[in-house]
Amino acid sequence: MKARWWWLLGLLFMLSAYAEVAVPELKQRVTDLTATLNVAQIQTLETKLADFEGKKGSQIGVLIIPTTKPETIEQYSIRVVEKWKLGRKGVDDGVLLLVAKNDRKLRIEVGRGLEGALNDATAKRIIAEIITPAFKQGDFAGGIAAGTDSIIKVVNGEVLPPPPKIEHYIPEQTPPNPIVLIILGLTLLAFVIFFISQVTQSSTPALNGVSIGGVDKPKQQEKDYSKQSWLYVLLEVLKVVIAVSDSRSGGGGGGGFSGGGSSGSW
Amino acid sequence: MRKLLILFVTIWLTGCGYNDFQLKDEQVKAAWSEVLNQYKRRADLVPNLVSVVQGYAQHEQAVFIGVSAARASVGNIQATPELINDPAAFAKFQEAQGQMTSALSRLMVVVEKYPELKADKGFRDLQAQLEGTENRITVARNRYIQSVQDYNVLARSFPTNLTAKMFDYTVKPSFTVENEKAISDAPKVDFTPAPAVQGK
Repeated sequence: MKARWWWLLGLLFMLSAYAEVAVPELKQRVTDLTATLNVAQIQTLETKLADFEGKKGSQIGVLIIPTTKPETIEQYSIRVVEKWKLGRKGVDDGVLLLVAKNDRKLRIEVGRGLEGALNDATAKRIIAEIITPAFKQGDFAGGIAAGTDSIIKVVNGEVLPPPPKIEHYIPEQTPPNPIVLIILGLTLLAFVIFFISQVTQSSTPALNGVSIGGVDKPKQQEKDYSKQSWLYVLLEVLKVVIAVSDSRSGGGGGGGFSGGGSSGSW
Repeated sequence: MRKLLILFVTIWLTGCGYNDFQLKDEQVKAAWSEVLNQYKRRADLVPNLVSVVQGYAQHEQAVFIGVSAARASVGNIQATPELINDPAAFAKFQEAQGQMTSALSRLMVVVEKYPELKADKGFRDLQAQLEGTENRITVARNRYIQSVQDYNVLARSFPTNLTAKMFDYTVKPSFTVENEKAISDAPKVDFTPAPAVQGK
């Protein structure tokens, strides 16, 4: 029996060894998990990208991680953008510049709406002619700054819908799902009925509700039990409803990606 | 009373799944269109790529014949959305696209022998486009596999399988590991011209 547990534990360790690199949360536009850039450099980049986003509406994200292994940079990159959803919903104008420092690989992942302007060949040129020469000299900050500059220049040449007045970083409020509303309404109704029945029952002698004897009042107890299960079911339903209405929050603006862009190494 | 309640809640929460089928079916169709779209994009890229490579490497006839034969067989298959409801046609489509993949990678191996070609700007752009398209195909295929998985789980699990039977929703075919392997296998570089194709 014990041996089996050890075996299970070993399996768990093996699984964790093969686990993919987790995608970090999208908290800001520039995420550096390798401490390559200093605070001032991150701040400058962040301001530049936020500025561009305010003027043009497109969202550019930068992510620097140590490694993407065991996945290829393309596999990891698509997972990042599927989670972050950079760019506006429907316009799909997000771009991710991903650097896997120890793998010496980088990738520009282009949102579906920008594949015309920032096409694969252009992305490849930005990587090969602008970013990797700087990376080869060990100048990561300079390479990333120059790379994002040229991405901005290319995207500026594309006609896109104007940005909204307010920061669209906050996901826009969508009208709630009618089914959720109906379930919520029914749940509330059930609660009201439950409490009314509770009140009408407590108007009968108090000893009836609280079963002190327990043994000599089996019927009463059963009734109490069914009441509790009512409450339990209602609470579970409420949890599901809350989970459903919560699930649409995302980090970026909701942009879609289909794997366009280019990768390179230095 | 309690049993009745539980039954009621179960039906209430899971439903018969009819609407889920509609939703997932549409998702599978959309994912499949994207797969077709990206394969088409690759096929459209081939003539340009071949003509650029031919400019530098006229003597690699076998490879060019391989590519154009693969392109012809891909073009022969009616790539329609209905393909996903016909497992045999689906398998044939996959096989043809797999041949295309290996013919193209053979072409790219040949390119390695010609430094001037590799330095050509037009070729480098085309190469970037081919790489990007191959990656898009991978992404589209993975998304298709995911959507088919969602659909098939619904079609097989209780109680929605009863709905599936009632409305005749069958399990949809997906890309399998076997031909994934065939596609990712390194192509054999063979410079003897294929006689069957040359007779054309």
